[in-house]
Amino acid sequence: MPGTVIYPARLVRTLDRGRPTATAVAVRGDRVLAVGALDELGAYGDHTIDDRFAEAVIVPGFVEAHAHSYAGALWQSPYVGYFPRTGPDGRFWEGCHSIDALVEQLVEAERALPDDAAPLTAWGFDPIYLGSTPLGAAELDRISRTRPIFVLHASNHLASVNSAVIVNDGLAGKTQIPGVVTDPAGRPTGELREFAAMFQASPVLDLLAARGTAAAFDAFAALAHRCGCTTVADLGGTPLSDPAVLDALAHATARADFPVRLSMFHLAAQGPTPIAEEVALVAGLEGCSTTKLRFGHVKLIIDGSIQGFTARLQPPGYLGERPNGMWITAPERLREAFGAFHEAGHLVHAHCNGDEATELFLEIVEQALARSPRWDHRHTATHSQLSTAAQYRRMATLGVGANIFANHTYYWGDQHRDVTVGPDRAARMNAAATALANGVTISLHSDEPVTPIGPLASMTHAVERTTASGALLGPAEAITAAQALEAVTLGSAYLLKMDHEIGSIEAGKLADLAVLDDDPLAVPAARIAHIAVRATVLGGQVLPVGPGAPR
Amino acid sequence: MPREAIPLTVVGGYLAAGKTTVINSLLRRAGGRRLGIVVNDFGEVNVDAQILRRLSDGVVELAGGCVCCDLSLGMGPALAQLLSIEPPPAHVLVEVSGVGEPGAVAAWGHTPGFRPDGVAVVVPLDRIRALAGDRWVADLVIDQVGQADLLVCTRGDLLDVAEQHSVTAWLRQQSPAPQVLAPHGEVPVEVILGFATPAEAGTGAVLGTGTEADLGTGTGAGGGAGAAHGVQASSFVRASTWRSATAVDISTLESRLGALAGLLRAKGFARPAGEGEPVLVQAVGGHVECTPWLPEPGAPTPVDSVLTVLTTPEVADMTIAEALPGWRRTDHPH
Repeated sequence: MPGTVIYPARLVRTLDRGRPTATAVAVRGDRVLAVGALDELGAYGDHTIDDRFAEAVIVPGFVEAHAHSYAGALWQSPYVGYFPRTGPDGRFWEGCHSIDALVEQLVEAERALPDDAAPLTAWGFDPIYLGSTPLGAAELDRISRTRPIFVLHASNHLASVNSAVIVNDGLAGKTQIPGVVTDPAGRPTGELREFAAMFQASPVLDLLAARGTAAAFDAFAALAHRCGCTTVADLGGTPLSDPAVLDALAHATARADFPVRLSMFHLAAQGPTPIAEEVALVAGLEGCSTTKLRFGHVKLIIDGSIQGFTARLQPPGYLGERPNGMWITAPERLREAFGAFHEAGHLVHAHCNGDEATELFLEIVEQALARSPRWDHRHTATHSQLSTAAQYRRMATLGVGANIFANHTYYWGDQHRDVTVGPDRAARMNAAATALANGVTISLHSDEPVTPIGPLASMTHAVERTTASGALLGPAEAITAAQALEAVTLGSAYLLKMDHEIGSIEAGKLADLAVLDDDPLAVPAARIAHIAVRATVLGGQVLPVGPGAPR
Repeated sequence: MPREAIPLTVVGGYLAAGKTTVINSLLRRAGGRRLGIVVNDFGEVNVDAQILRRLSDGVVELAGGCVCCDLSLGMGPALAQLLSIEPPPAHVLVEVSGVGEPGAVAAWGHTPGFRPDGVAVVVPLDRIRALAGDRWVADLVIDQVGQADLLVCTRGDLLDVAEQHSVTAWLRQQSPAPQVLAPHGEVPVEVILGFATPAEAGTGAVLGTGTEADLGTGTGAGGGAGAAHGVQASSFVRASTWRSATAVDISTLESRLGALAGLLRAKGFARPAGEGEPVLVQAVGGHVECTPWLPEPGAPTPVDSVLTVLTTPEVADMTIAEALPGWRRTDHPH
């Protein structure tokens, strides 16, 4: 019988309606034994008191319900995005606010490479924030003319390369390929647009090879741990039919010091595999779940992105008479796939950015329920950026949840207001308040690496409704800090069907905790994002966060 | 000697239009032409042919010498593999996903080693109007049709004549691309793949000597319309051969031939005025490409200008003659 450890704290926010706050948590083994005041908990028998968190605030370990483990692969390369990020090792990257800064960043990275010939890859570059100077060979040659350099843009649809790549991969002979951008003299500039062109640069293969490896999963877990997560969902992109990947996952999560629980979603209906086979795959995987590695849930992708003009919108559509976006999966295939997984009892989260995508998803869910009624399915529209009030009302009736991309208000709010959909629709994007008012369970997510993982930051964005330029966008859709805290703990847990185990600090649930320097409900909204995470506790195991932290 | 660019034709169209049926039909009728097919799913292809062996990851060889790649590694790697096999394919067909834009996929035809050779969009006549009015996919379907150089119209047999006429008339309003009727997905190979190159014909066909130019391998399918051209028998297309004894103005040829409604394919040579080298003429739908003719060892330089033209059945000789001023039809119509 494991011993009981009591952790006194300045404050414990439990997310348990019956006992919302406390000042100590008693943990036995991997479970919470009790929550309350120190003297109450003492009555449970022999125990030790661990007072390292006595001045801290304890909340349930955060649950990130939409991220991607391939971020761990990207983080093997330097980050050159505009906004600051913290890497898996705790290194703070202040972000590149100019091409000069990017060059400086990569000069440093280049010097640190052990092998003279190995390509230098980097990721996260987003020209939208840097004005009109394109990034090409002229700029990247300042870093090195001899070492191949490949910079992946944040959109994943563009890349920039230097002269070494142009020469080594013969790009001068490939200028007829649309997307290999040339100067007026017909020479490649080093900008590559879309996959046909990007593929011509061989370093892209290095970036792809890092995915699905133990190093990638470890980096991903470290990233999540640093911001206080104890459970993270990988919404697809890591092939679960690949035995090498499953092996890497099993070994990584079996380690005692692997700091998070993973919920690995199967991305369905993307390839030629018959749906029945995919259903069998997911059912088989579900049987292999462990306490730190969960399988069984399914992801469907319906449309693209609003800022990429590939999301599917209802009228009036995009500003500027643009054509509507793309169906990533054909409606018939979505119906077939969803129906099959629904009937087999699985949980489906569907990527819906545009409101037309949400509309199709709701129609599919409703039809599937009519054919095969199911209690408590919790199917979820994830991103749900343009979902309308009417759609939220329908979600409530259908029992559908919404995982809302609150971070978008900050990172792309200005673009949505000015370029993609206009001020009125931008104001109602990521409508967390409307969702809650209609009784829809919500979560808030990062879609790491698209925006940085960090539930505290997501809380700030959902409460502040402020864009990167400092403009208020749709304050009527702001939610309270308390609602935001619930969204990133119990709300996420509910949408992942793990709320009976995690998401709140209650007797009998897993001892998954986040230890903070401050109370997110007692500071101004803007400060929530900056509250330091001292440690997490995962199944009773203390995992400190900090420069000296274990991997 | 630099290898000739491999023509790359894209086959698009919404789900269940019949793309797979068309591709399978082409594989059966390839008649010695080594096709390279890029598909989403190996399982769909190869209804009749047997997979003979795996050439490498994601590439298989089929009975009849055609090879097939799937998209498991992506489009770039699939095309790279097709370039590296020996012997290389004579023509590459890429099947576009049902929700994809065929015009965008056609851009891959600019990959070095290939040249773009048309976009064929498969249209199910019995469902296309409903699809073009579908709440979710109307805009996509109309876009796909708009990107076609050739429209392959399947499932017409499920409609009566009046309905068929009504649908094809409506289709003509959506796109000027010529419509080839292919009720069961059977379409003459030359429509999708064009005519075989003289070098591949292997018949030692000699041009300009007065003998009938055989610009296609065909399958040697018996008599019937078009057999003299090596074009497989079909009542849904019409083949004719034209010659010009006088010098040809190339830009006029490009614009007039390209504007010929109902033109599916054309191939041949044109002698321009002056000392210029003969020009190889290739057309798919409304796209006409005139490139310098590269001599083959042992083959004589063409003397006359000769063109084999494949059109939809209703296109009259008179209409073709107007598009080819100064040219005369020289084959014997059946």
